[in-house]
Amino acid sequence: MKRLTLRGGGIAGVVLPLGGALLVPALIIWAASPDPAKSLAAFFTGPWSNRWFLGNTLDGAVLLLTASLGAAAAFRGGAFNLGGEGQLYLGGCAAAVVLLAPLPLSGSAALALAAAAALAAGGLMGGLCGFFRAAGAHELISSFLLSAALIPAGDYLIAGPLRGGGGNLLASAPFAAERLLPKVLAPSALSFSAPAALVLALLFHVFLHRTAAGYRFRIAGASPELARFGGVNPEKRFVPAMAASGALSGLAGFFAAAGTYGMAYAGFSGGLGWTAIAAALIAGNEPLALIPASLFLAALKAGSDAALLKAGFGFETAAFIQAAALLLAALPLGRRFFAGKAS
Amino acid sequence: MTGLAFAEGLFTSAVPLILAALGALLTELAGTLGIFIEGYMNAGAFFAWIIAGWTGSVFWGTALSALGAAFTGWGAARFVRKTGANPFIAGLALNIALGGLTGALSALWFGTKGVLRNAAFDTPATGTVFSGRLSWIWLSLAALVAVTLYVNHSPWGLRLKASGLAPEAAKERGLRPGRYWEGSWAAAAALAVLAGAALCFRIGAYTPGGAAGRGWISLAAVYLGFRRPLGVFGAALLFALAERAAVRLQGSALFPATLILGLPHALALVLYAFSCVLGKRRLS
Repeated sequence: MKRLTLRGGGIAGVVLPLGGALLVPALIIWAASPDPAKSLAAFFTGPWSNRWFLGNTLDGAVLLLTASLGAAAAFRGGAFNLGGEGQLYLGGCAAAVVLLAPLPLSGSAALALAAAAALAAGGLMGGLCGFFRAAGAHELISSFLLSAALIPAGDYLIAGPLRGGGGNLLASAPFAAERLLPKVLAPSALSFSAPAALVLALLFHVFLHRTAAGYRFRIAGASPELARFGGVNPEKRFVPAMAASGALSGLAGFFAAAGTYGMAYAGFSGGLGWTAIAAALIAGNEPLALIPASLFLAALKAGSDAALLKAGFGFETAAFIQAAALLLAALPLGRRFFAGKAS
Repeated sequence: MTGLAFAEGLFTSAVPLILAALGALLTELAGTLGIFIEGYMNAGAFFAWIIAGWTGSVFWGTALSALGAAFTGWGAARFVRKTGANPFIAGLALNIALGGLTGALSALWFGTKGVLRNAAFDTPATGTVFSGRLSWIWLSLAALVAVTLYVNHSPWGLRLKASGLAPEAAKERGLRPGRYWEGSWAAAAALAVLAGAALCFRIGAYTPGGAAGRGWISLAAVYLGFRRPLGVFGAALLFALAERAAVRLQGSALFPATLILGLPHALALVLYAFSCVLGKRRLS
């Protein structure tokens, strides 16, 4: 397998994926909706129309920002984490285990412990794949397989030991009120996870661009040969890169469970791990650029959901948004991904 | 269970894995592992199923879908090569797009995103060589023989491997590595569609996302088989055995049934990592 090198693109590398990601769902909605004008209006204005929708759109962006920080951490280390979806899900499940446990803890202590459990669950899953990579097994395959192997374990926890009474929904019991992240924009889902995610993005930026360790990490990821030349062993970056990636994905699961939903339900990760890869690529894996990229993709998701609700056709456009953004972000606009293959 | 029935059951489970893993092997030998196998398996199951419903023929449903896959796979490869896009991310995008496409078409045409049934295609469990389950087994074995002959014993196979190993050197010898690379994606897409068709006709219904990770397991099988056709065949049989064992365990109520769903993936991961350590392959 060829090595991946992923770097930030130029203006075209940002505009084209974003434009494609905007155009594709808009076209689908226009073509498939019985009332295109109304649906398109809902698509563009729905996510911002009132306090509730605004807060939920922003909350979606916060979850995506956290998860895409995870995807970017792997990419910056020259690794490709395809297990984000499972790390997020298992992270949320680990958090739910703590938050539902009858421990004599204050609300904030339980939340801190739950966050630590989510970080550990995701970090272990990612770190293990980094370890495998150092042994020669590509993390592209191992991270996906590990994630696919453990997602049923999350399903089992939610449908079994953590299951809340009543209802057809396969969901854990709701967390106690003092064990929820405080809301920022009630009644919407936006919670304390928002400032936390922004701080994380800032910290990640400072680490990458203002510290010596971040410099070594960046060089080892972008150009292993150069790193080796400069006395840095590039093989040593796989475990930390994948562990950080998994931990951040796990934290996104904690934010989703303790902040957004107040419980864990079957399949709550809902493709967030895949959208996170698209967001990371659009943002050129720059932590600060992830903020607008996440906001944009979250608004698209919220918009297509709103249009769906208005028009009521039976499928989601989320997959097309992800695919268009990914495909266009894969283009080497002003950079070369794929040395030695063109002929 | 008699030995023959056991073998038939094992091979029936192995058919999709053999077909998909042979395709993945071709892409890997040509230079870039095809991440899109899983997506094409799911799409192949969908299109083979509905085209079979329209034409009234399992053969035409499967053949037309495979043909379509070869064209789109070739087109995707050409797009990636001409634009210089990252082939892994493009493959991931293909997976996601194909999943969205089948879901959308299913909702538009049949008003459901769920299971599609058709009483006409309850493939008989037994049959002659050219009908029922046995024909799929023969198809997968024919694909195995064809890929083995091509890769190990033909000048074109040698050129494919040379193109994957050292495209620049192959070019200097007058080969066109890009052609082999595009061809490998077309063949892998077609084989993945056959694998998906084998799955849905075996069950006798189309289930969305029915590949259930088998495409990814087939990627692991490429390495577990040390990138050789017969090795890949052995790895596919091993994974099929694991799949059947998991189904057995699920019925036994020894473990929670949902947990066991992850077992084939866990085994694939362990064996994949193990084979990489054994083979001391370094991915640069």
